[in-house]
Amino acid sequence: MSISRSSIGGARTISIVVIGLVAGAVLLSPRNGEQDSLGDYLRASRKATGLTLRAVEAMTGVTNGYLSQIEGRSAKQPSPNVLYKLAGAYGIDYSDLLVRAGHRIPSAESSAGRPATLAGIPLRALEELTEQEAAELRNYLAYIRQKRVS
Amino acid sequence: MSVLQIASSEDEVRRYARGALVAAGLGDRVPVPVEEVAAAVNLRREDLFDLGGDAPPEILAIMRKLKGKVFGLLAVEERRYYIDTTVSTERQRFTEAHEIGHDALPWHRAAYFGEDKTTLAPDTRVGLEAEANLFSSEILFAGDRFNREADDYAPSLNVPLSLAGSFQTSAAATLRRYVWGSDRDLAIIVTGLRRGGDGSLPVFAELTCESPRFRAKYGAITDLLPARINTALYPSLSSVNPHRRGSVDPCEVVLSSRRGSIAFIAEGFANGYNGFILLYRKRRLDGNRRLDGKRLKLIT
Repeated sequence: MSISRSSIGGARTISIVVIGLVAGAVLLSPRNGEQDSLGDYLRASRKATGLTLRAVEAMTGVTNGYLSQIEGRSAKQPSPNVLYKLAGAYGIDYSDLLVRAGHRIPSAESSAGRPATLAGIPLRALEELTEQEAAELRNYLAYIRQKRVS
Repeated sequence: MSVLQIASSEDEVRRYARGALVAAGLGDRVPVPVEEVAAAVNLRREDLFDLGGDAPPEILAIMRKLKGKVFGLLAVEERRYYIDTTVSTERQRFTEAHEIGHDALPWHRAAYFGEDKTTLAPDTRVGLEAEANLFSSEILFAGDRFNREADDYAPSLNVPLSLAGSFQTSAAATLRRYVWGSDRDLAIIVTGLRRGGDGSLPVFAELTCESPRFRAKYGAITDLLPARINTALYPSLSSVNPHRRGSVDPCEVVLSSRRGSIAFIAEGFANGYNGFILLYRKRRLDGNRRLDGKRLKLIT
């Protein structure tokens, strides 16, 4: 299952000039940059739709006070449920919001390249197993599917 | 996640679960036929470990490895979920409803099945699994029905243990649901069964819970308890052990709360894995029905 990523406000780095110590830029981690951009991104998305905070509250049930906290960055990691509703209200990519909020993080080296799908079937269990167990489960399910077809 | 978010998420999960029950058109049927709930959301059940008699040895070897590790899994686009049917009926039903929850809660799909360069953050995974567990609980206990029925009776350990048979739910899940959803002053302490050197048992705070009314009156039960329970607090402690399954004679437990020292009746139960101590206040005049002992069917 492929998830498209929004092109608005993708991963970015923030440069800080430390006067007298380092004549250059210190790059903060991309993850910090993404987390910090979530509130700004959601505010920009809301404004692009012309919705007020109260209108969003009426549409989604997320209180305008909490929306204000999210946009003002005092609430840094809204739950997936809240992000799903906001993605729907603003017409933006939910998967991208999950990454920006830190709910989905870069895969560890050991699991990088491990497909989360089997012949196009997303399997939730794969994320909960070791790499070897996941590989064995994929083979096992491939056998079950083949048996069902034949 | 903040308290505000969790409350919001709980309400949503319950709404979706009740929507699934309504879509299945089950009326008042208990135990809730989980497979019919699955059919209502266009999911089919498959046996995870039924390979027939002609499976090659390498597949059988994998199956043996996976048994006990994978109880169920969901293949969304295939519209199937796979269940280990060799475990208890109660465990199967819980797993089924849990997997249906991952499909029915729309924010779960992209969360679990994102592209391969990212994976779920550990805390997020824990939160989503808790949501699927809540969904499962809502389905198996038929929304409010279980608690409405349970609260018709005077508080007692026998109430949830008896109803567990009707709802086909495990004793542990039923005890916690009984307390969590009750309109009465109830709390349940869940302990481990491995004793410390002083004979005490550890309190499992993440499983210990109280009813909303108990919390409003006395505060969260975990705030009233030490990290370990000893016989000074709970005189029947010695009867809660791994070798004994079933109920323990009631005794009195006194806890210091914001209302001062409060005496509770404590009824114990052990299922071989955990100890459970149900706390409730004794009332002088209790007009509620009491469960007839003959109706009891203990699920351990």
